[in-house]
Amino acid sequence: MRNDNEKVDLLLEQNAAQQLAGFDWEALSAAISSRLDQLSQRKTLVFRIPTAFKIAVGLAAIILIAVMITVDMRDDLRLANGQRAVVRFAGPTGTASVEIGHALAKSEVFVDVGPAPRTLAKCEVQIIDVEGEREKSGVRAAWIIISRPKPAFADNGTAKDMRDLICMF
Amino acid sequence: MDNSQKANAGSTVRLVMASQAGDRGAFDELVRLYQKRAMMVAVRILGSADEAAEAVQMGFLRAYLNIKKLRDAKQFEFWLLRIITNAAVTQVRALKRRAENIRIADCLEGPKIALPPEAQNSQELTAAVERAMLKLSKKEARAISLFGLKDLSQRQVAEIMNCSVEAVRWHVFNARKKLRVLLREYLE
Repeated sequence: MRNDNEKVDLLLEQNAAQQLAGFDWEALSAAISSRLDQLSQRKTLVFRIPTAFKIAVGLAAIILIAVMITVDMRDDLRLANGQRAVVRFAGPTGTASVEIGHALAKSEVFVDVGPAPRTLAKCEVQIIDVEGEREKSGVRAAWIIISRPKPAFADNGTAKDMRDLICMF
Repeated sequence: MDNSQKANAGSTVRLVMASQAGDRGAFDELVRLYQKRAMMVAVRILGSADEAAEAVQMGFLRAYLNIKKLRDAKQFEFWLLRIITNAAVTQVRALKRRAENIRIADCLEGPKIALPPEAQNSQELTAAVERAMLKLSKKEARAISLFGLKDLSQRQVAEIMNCSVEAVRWHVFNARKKLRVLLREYLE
């Protein structure tokens, strides 16, 4: 056992000696020195940036995040024919827009579920058949059913309780 | 401690204090004084000199950034070795990830160029040690590599690793046990 341990130590020693034979120590210290120089320069540069600029950058970042959150709250969705999606009305107005993406007849549907209660705002949107004939006005007929994702009044299996349908048009 | 070691320790303390006061030249001198020792430890953890050099560079950068936090300048060597072993262990994790990618790339690679037998043996040993070290735990790798520095006592290794002497012995025992299996074809 002792002999085996010595062999392991010797092997590690041998490998380390092989690896470090002819190693360029000058190059290593030069590389470290160069990295330290870069580090010092970067630190100096950071200290040189005026505080007002740092504050401005911080404020800009906060505004950008706020704008992104607001935009996200609008919940715009692009749905293909027959596609289902859940729309979460997180905005203060309770309004969400559902855009039907169709190459020929692009139309927009605005859904307003009213200001309160907020729990009603989460609903399921299903767009049925937008492949029908185009009307003279150029608008294509489409059925849109907006309902609660889970029944709140009565579970009638696949058939929704009428009170769970928010609107259908 | 002989006279040359005492003189070395004295100059180290002076250089550390100067570095703490912001003298870059003094830190460069510390790099020149301790780079060999740092490489000895890092090579034992990582297996190859190239990987060890990267870890040593990172270690010295961290040491430079934190040198003001070192309270006792006499402890510089242990403090540095702790940083270097940490940097090497971090590098091991990166190597493990890279090893996975290389294994995939090897399947796609064409025939390799034949090397002279001696170079081939040395390369094989390095690769085997590198692979074996990847199988050790962080503590085992640190313990066995520091143990290899003959002039460090077990107590000093424990101090660097921030654990008890018994724990160091245990980690070294386990590391050797694993390495005996992983490197058995090179031990015969």
